[in-house]
Amino acid sequence: MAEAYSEKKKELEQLFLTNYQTFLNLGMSLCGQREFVKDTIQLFFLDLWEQKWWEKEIADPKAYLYRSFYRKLFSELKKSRKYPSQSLELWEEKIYALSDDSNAFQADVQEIQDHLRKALSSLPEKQQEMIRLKFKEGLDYEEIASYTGKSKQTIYNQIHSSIKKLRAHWQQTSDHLKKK
Amino acid sequence: MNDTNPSIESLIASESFQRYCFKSSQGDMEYWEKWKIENPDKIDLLLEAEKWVMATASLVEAKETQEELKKLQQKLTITSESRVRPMFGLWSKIAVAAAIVVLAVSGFFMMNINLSGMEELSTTFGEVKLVNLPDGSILTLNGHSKARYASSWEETEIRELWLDGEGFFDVKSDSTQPFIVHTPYGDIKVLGTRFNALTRAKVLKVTLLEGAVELTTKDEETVELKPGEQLSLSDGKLSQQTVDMEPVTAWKNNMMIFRDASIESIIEKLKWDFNWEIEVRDESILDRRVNAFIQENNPELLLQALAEIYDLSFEKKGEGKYLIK
Repeated sequence: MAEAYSEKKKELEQLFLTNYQTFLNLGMSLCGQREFVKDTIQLFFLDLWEQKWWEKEIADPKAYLYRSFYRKLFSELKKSRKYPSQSLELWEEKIYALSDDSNAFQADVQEIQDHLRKALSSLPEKQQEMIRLKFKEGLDYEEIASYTGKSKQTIYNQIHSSIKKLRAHWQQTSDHLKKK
Repeated sequence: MNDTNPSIESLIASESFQRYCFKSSQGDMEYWEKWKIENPDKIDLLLEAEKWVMATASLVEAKETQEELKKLQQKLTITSESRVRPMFGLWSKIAVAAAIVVLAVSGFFMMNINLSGMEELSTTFGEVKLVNLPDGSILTLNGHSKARYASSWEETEIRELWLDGEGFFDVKSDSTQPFIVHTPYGDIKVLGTRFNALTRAKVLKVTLLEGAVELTTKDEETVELKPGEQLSLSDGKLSQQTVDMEPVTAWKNNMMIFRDASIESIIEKLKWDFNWEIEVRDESILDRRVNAFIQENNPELLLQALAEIYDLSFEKKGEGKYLIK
């Protein structure tokens, strides 16, 4: 009994590890607030556990997971009252239609991420930090400027040139792949 | 940025474009939607830039995934102890019968509280409960504790909760709707955060892990707390100090940790959390300092460990009653 239980726990943890990036991507494309999406992922997995998801018969587990994650995101967004409910309903319709297009979009995003994981480490540490503050922490140029004591324009230029390097790197490798 | 012929890098670096990607500004969303219509040949460029913004902002490194997994595991441990437990065979039938009885009782109880619009929760000695609050914040309630809050915070200006006992709060940040914990000795105002609050025997202890909280005592004295700090209020006297977090929040992870704790303070804790009465024959041992790490929130294991390490012996005098020799 206890063994069957810890088996399920391991499965859930595996599910978490393999899908974490995808869930974060889905959530971010909906509301762009990293901490909020992270909290929601935690709550979503607790729900799965409490509802004993393994007892449900699901034809397409992946689609089921993503759909129920969206549902959770929307209900959390509504609770947080960060968005006017009107615009929420608008997106809800859009997103529930989960077209092939958006799946292709997500697949491309993940491909870029695989590239970024390697390419970021080739940048000088300071530039990595800027990219992290700008995109991951979601600070604006003004805030980064006051944080680092540099001018807004300097910050912008540095981030712009980092993006350029990351893109150049990407194009090299994808050209290389095409030749193959 | 050249607005009619932008490079992909300047799109990615543009804050207005980023806000469009994250749907965080109505104005920017309208601007870029209109821009798409006016520049139909640039739609692919825009889409590619959008993918890059999303990819960079959502990028997860292995370390973060591991940290988040750890958080989940901690929550699962508590949930599985106190809430879900799979049942098989004959036992499941008995358990179902028992569950119906419990449901009938608690159903009536729920009706009662829903009439007043308040939720009331309490734990018995040694029980830990995980509670999803109306806004999605999470409260872990330690044994022998009570919490009371409105069943919905949608219409209220503040998120309010009354606590007696000990709780660990993982609060959703929302600057428009403050979160306040009322205790018999003072109010804790939260600014999106993780902290532990304890009220036992005329003492209030607030320990902050992340974020910021502000405590206002009954005498209207206000103190702000920083991460890593613990605030104690005892008989109206305030003291603030930096503490080791692990022992304070160990109960939440179903563990007991004591670092340089006196036997007296351990006896006191067992009394509050588990209703254990422990007498000592030789009072000089009360000041003895103890380090202990017990991988279960189990007082019996703790006593056994203490007995072994400090060469003491225990006599069980009844349920939860012991004499230390």
